[in-house]
Amino acid sequence: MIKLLWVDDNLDQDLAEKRMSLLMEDDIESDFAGDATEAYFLLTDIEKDYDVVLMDLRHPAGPDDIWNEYAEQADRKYGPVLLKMVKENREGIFSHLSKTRYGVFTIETKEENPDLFQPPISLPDQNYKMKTHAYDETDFINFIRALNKS
Amino acid sequence: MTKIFLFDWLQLGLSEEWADTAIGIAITYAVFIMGVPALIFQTFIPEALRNVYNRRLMRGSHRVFTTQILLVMILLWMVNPKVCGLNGCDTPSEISAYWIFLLTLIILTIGHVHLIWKFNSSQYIGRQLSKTIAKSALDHFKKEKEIKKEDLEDLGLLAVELPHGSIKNTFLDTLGQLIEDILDVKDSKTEEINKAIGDIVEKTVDPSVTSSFEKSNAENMKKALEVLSFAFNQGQRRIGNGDDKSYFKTIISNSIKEIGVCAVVRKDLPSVMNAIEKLSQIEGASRDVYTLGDSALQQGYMKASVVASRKLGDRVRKVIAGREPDWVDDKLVCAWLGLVARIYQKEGHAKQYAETQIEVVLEQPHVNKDEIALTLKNAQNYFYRRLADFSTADAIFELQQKRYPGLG
Repeated sequence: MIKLLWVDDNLDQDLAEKRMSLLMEDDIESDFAGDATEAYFLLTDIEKDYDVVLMDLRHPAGPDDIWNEYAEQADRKYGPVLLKMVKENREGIFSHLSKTRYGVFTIETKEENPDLFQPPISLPDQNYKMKTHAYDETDFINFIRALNKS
Repeated sequence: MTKIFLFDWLQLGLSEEWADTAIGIAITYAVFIMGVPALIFQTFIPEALRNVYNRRLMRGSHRVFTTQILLVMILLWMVNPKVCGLNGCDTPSEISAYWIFLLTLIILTIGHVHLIWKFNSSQYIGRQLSKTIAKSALDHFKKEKEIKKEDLEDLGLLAVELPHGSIKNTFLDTLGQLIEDILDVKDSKTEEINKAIGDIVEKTVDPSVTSSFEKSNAENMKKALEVLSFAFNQGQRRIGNGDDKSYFKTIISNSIKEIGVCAVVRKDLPSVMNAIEKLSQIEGASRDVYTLGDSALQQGYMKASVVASRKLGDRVRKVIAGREPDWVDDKLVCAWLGLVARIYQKEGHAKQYAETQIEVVLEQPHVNKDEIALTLKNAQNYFYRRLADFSTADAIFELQQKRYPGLG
């Protein structure tokens, strides 16, 4: 069983079919978040020890004020902010996510996001997938399974 | 010549014409400004909001009118020939001329600023009203630890009357901020927060979408769900996991369910999925998830039922795998089984999906036939005795007869 959290603000639109196909997979238990606030609440819930967290890079902050301090630097790019937050607090509030694998699913290229592959995030190269490269539902689900094994 | 030019800048003498004109301009403009609210009322303010607008945003106007009338009275006094020196003196007072000019200028400026403010306020009437009322509600909560009835009623009125779209979204944002601010009030007790947030959710957030859901758009539903989910998560942190939060939790899950049911009727799958996602994060909201899935089924909206059954199934699988005490009697298990039984009745691929769900979730290797029989019996009793939902109790019985003919 793969426990997955997928953070993306397009889950209601062009990714709705992928979301539905994930729900039809018996060995994947999925939670979804449409903004950074929702993702933060799910990630800090110690009962939700996700195996895989899949993140879009750009999504809204959501209603929580904690994102105000990142608003200018983030430019809606709360994905890296969240990843950095989790990785930097592995001993603290995110300690239950020590075995979690992280992936990025975005329309941006790797070259646009060099900081993802450096500490503290240190995302493995193969865990970065452009949406254009896994648009087919089967490819996408295979990517989730590969993330779980990474 | 000085009598023709009203403002004799070179000599700055005070003439009768100048005094006449100054007082004429001041009074005419002051009277005109008094008429502006009536114009705005008729032109821009929706009829249903006029009363609230009058009470909440007209106080400034009253102060402006009073100030202007007072200034006009002073001006009248100053242009009296004996006061200003037009009669009985060879050279009228230069200082009086300055004062009359200055007072006229002040009256015109106050009127002009008020006019601009009024027109601006009429453009963002919803935002201004909601912020003003939310501020009043927060101030009252800080003092009295409760939401004033009048504020709640006015917010409820805005929730129903404001047009759907971006204006309603801004209103929902204000409510989200109000909830956050109430949760931040340091010296408040759990039950006070419980009551305040419950009232705001029940009387404002929920009706803002469900009162006229035919006209509501997906963005408003998304925003309302976002506010409810945030209220739940923040509230849970503030209140903790004790029994005290049950009222608050019930109100929020009920509101999410109602929005979800509206989305089902509108066949708005993303909003239904969002509602189910939010509900599934609330412990003890399994019946609401069931209700959503069941109403989707009745509307012939199978996808939404599948989502609901999957989200319930994920949790039931955990409960059974962990062999939690009394799992056979768990309401969550009953709700899931009820929904799966309703899907099972549909035949074809729906039935196939239901069978797969039963295999994966219920028929785990360590679960014996007696436990399955007891689970089915308890689920039937739950729908029959607790909810008077006889058709779902029948559906579970039918499932039992077909899939487990030897049981029970």
